[in-house]
Amino acid sequence: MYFLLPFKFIDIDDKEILVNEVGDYLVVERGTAERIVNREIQNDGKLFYDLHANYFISQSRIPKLIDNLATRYRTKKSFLNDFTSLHIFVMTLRCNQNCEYCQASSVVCNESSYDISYEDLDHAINLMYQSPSPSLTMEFQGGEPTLVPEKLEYAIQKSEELNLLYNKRMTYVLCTNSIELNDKILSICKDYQVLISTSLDGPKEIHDVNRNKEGSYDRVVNGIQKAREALGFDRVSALMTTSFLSLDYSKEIVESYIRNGFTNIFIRALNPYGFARENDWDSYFERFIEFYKEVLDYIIEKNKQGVFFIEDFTALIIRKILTPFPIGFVDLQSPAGIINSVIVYNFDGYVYASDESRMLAENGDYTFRLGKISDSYEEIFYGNKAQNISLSWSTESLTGCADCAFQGYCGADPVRNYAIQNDMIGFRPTSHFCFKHKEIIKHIFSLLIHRKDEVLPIFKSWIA
Amino acid sequence: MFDFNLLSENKISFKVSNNLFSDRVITKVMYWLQSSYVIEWKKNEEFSEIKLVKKNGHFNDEERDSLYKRISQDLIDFKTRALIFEETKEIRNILLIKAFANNDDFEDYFLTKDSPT
Repeated sequence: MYFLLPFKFIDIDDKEILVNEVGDYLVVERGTAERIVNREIQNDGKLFYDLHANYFISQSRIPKLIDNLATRYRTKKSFLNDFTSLHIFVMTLRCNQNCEYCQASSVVCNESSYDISYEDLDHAINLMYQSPSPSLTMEFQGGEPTLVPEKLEYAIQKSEELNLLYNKRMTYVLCTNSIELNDKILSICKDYQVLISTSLDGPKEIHDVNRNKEGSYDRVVNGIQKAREALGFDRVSALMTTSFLSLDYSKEIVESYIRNGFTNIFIRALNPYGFARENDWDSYFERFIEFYKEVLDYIIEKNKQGVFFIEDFTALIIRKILTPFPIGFVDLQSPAGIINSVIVYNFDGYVYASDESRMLAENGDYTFRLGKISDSYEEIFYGNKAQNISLSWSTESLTGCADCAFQGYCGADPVRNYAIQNDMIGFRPTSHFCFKHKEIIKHIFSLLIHRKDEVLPIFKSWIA
Repeated sequence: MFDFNLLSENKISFKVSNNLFSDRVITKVMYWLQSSYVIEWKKNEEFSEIKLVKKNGHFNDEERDSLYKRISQDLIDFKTRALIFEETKEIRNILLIKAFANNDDFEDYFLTKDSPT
C-alpha cells in the first residue's frame, strides 16, 4: 500500500514521463501513471523504490521528508523573495538601424521628443532603489540607447550616488546594436563596468538583410571587437533573432557565432510585437521548431568534436530539469516575470509591466501601462493594474497549464496571450508560446530518453 | 467511449459514459479539440453525446482513426490526472504551506494525533 504525492505525466515517443511537484522526472513505460493510481505497483520492485525515492509516492500519508520537499519547492520559487530585480530603462525610441523584424517600433529621426527626460530618469531611478532586491540590474534599451550618451552617463552616475545610501549589488547592461560604440560610450562602460548586450543574427548575408542596411554586419562585428578590447572579452554578449530568412541557415548561424569568438548562442524566436505583428505565425513557429532541432543537433555534434558551445535556451530548460534552482529567465517563470522580476521605465514617462508591454503601447494599446514614472512605488507595483494582471500570471491556475507535465519548466506570459489572443489568460490549443515551449521541452526529453549517454554529459557541462 | 460514428463529411459523434468519466474530465479533453472542431455536447442520465464539427475541410479515414485513438487515450489520461489531483490535494496544500510559511510558526503543523508517521 502506498499514498500518492502530487505529480503530472505526459507521453513522449514510446515512453511516459512522470514529473513531480519540484520538477524531478522519471522515464517509465506508458500507462505507468494509471497503474500507480490503481495501486498496481508492487512494493518490492525497482519501480516502487524509484517512485518512492523521487517523491511520486509515499509509504505514509504525509512523507517523512516533506520538509525536504517543501524546501526544494521554496527554492524553485525563490526568485519571488527579492521581487523586481531587472529594471529596464528605454532611453530613446530613436534608432540608427531599420530592422525588418523590429519589435520596439523604433523611429529613425533626430527628434528629442523620443528621448526620456532627465526628470523621469530621476524618478525612475528612485523607484528602482525602492525594490527590496539586494541585487539590481539596470538595463538600458531603445531604440538605440547609445544615441543619448549624456543621458546614459547621467543615469549611471545618479544610480551610483543613490547606491551609496542603499548599498545594492548593481549590474549595468547596455543593449546596443554596436553600430556607434564610440570612445565616449566605451569610456562610460569601462568606468562603471557596464556589460554590452548586442545583436548578431548570423553571417553577413542574413544579418544585413534582417537590418535592411548593407554593411551592418561589418559594423556590428567591428563594434563587438572594439568593445571586447576596451572592456574585456567576456563583457560582450550577443543575441540572435530567428527571422524567416534565418530558418534555412541553422549551421551557418552557429558557425558565424563560433567564428566571432562566442561560446554560446540563444536561439530566439520572433515575437508578435511591434512591426513584426503581421507575419504568418502558425507556419513560422512550426518551421522554428525544426530550425531549433537542427541547431541543437549541430551544436551537440560540435561539442562532441571538442568545441565547447552552448545553446542558451536548452541550457535554461536543462537547468530547470536537473537542478532545484530558479533560472532568472523571465519568460519561464510562474508567477510570471512581469512586475515580479522585470519592470520597464519608458521614454514616454510611463512604467510598463515588461519590455513587450511598452511595445504594445507603441501600437496604441496601454493595457500593461502601470502608471506614470512620477507615481509612487506602491501605486505602480501594487496598484489595481498590477493586481488585475496577477490573476492570470501563474501556470498553476491557468487552463491547459494546470495539468501540464511541463508546468514546472515553463512559464506564464499574460502579455503575449493578450497581444496574440486578446485575453491575458489565453487559449493554449492555439498558443504559439505553448506550442514552442512544449515542442522544445519534448525534444529535450526525447534526447534524454534516446541519446542519454551522448547528450547528458554535454548538457551537464552547459550548466556546471 | 462508444458509438463513435461519422455522421457527415465534417461531423463525428460519440458517447461517453457518465459513470466512467466526469464532466470535468470530458471538458478537459474537449478543451484541446476546440481549435479544430466546434463541439456540441448533450447529456442525459447515462451518457454524454458529443458531436465534433470540423471547422475546416472534411474528415478522412486517417484523421477519423487518429481522433478516435486520441480521444480514447485523453479520456483515460485526464481521468488519471483528476484522480491524482483529488487524492493529493491535501498533501499539496500542506507542502505549499510548509514551503512558504515561516518555518518557526509551522514547526508542529502535521504532528496531530491522527497523522500517520
